[in-house]
Amino acid sequence: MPAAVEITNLSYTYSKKTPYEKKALEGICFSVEKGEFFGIVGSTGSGKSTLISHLNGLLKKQQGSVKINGLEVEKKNLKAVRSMVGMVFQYPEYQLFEETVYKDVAFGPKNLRLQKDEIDLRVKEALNLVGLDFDKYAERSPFELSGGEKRRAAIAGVLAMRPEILVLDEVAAGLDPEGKKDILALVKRLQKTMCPTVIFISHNMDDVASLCDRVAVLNDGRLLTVGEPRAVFSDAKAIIEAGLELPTATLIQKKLENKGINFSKTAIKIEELAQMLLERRANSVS
Amino acid sequence: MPIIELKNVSYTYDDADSPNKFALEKINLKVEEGEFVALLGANGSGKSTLAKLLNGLYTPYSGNVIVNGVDTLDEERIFEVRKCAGMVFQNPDNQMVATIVEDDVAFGPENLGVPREEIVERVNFALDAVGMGEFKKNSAHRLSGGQKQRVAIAGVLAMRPKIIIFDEATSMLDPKGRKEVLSVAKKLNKEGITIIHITHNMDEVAFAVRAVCLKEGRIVFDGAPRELFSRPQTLIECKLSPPPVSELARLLKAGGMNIDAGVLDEEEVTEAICRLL
Repeated sequence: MPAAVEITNLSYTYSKKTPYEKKALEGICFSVEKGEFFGIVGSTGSGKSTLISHLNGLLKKQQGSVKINGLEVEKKNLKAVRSMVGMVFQYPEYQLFEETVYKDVAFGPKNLRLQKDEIDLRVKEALNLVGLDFDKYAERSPFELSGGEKRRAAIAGVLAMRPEILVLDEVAAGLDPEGKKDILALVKRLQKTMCPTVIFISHNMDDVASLCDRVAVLNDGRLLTVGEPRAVFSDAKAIIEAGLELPTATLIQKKLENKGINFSKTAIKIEELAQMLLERRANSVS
Repeated sequence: MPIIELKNVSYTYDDADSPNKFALEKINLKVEEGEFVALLGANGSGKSTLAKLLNGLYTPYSGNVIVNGVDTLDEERIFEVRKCAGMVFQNPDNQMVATIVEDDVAFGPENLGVPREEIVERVNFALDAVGMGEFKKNSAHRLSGGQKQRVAIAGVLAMRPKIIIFDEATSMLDPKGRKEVLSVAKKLNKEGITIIHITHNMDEVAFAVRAVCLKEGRIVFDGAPRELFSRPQTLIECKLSPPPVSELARLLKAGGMNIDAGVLDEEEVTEAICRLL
């Protein structure tokens, strides 16, 4: 079975042959398996957005290969690729444009020239998935909704295309703690129901550590490392050199190590670190 | 005399003749000159409404807002209020009015009719204060988010304010940009400027000396961040999450370790753990 996403030797340069020429990606290789919750991290300007823009052909490839379920992302396959890859950009609520929530969510399926019944079904399904009650929200203007509701409506528009691969760029940014919790729970639910493969881009290493099966670290357009979060964050020096932060648990653990308290395993979640410390204390008391 | 005083302030977005719902209700708050106050609350708690009352963008439905001795209801003196209390907003891309950094910063003083030489002086001073001096001839749209916000702060500084209100000014930034803006806020505070920092990111509360929590238009907590962090039920009631460090302290305490639940940051929690192991 082909990988959900397979990227080979991908390079990209902006504004080629101008004074603003900038290499954004260089020789990127990795794949994402079907069913993975895959993180992509990197400081601002590291190439994350350029990279994900290749996944559904928003940027035309200059060099290398990007395959979605074995299908090369190129002009003749764009329609098929775009029906498989759902992109949720940063602050997707800024992309709401229709008069009603219904029309906004229906925009994609309508462009697929689906029958009216099918469009209805898809809009209902998508709103239901994001937790917006169809009867209550369908006829409202998307601009009257609260911040968290707007974001969910915008995500529903992507889900109405029934993507297998969901790409989320900073999906929790700017939300208050409750809004953030809701959105992350939604993403987990979506992975179980509609979109088995999730690509999750975030600056919040605590979220990455607790959600992702594997994570790729970009630095200055190059792939620094890819692996399970625990292995990736174990190399604290590399993470910090890439301009990133450590998960809070890992950071506290490093500080404790500097004070001579050593650990056999890297902690990436607060609960793990608490557990390790409590066990340690129990052992030292007995 | 406090530099900001809210006396029994209520505000509604409804029709003033028949208001149903108040965004803020009977708020009493005093802020002394030189304080660094974090104003916290979930979406819809009224924190941005409160911010907009502080420089007369909104005026109260009832009650009074006094800024530096001037009532914001006094239309004749509203420009004094705006000069005194500057605001930095959430979206770095929405606050630029000029294409070149120094022109953007000059916009405010130009509108005040400040003489040219003094504008130059103020612009240079303001850009240096936020660490953006070397970018003054740059084009504003090519800056990073954190840099744009620092230019926005410089634009406020060029007005020589006594108070700067950060209305979720860090929420759209990456961790680096966030740190840049917070360290500028801290520096300006040291130089005597009163800072009101509106946020729902608990990691940023430790920067402040005082935390004020809003819930459904009312103040439910006013005290030291340390005290707030040691009261997780207040945070939960306000639909806020305790920062990861206090979560760790809580778990350790629940597991029988005698740790202060009000730890503020990674340093403090590390120290506390070292003492107990």
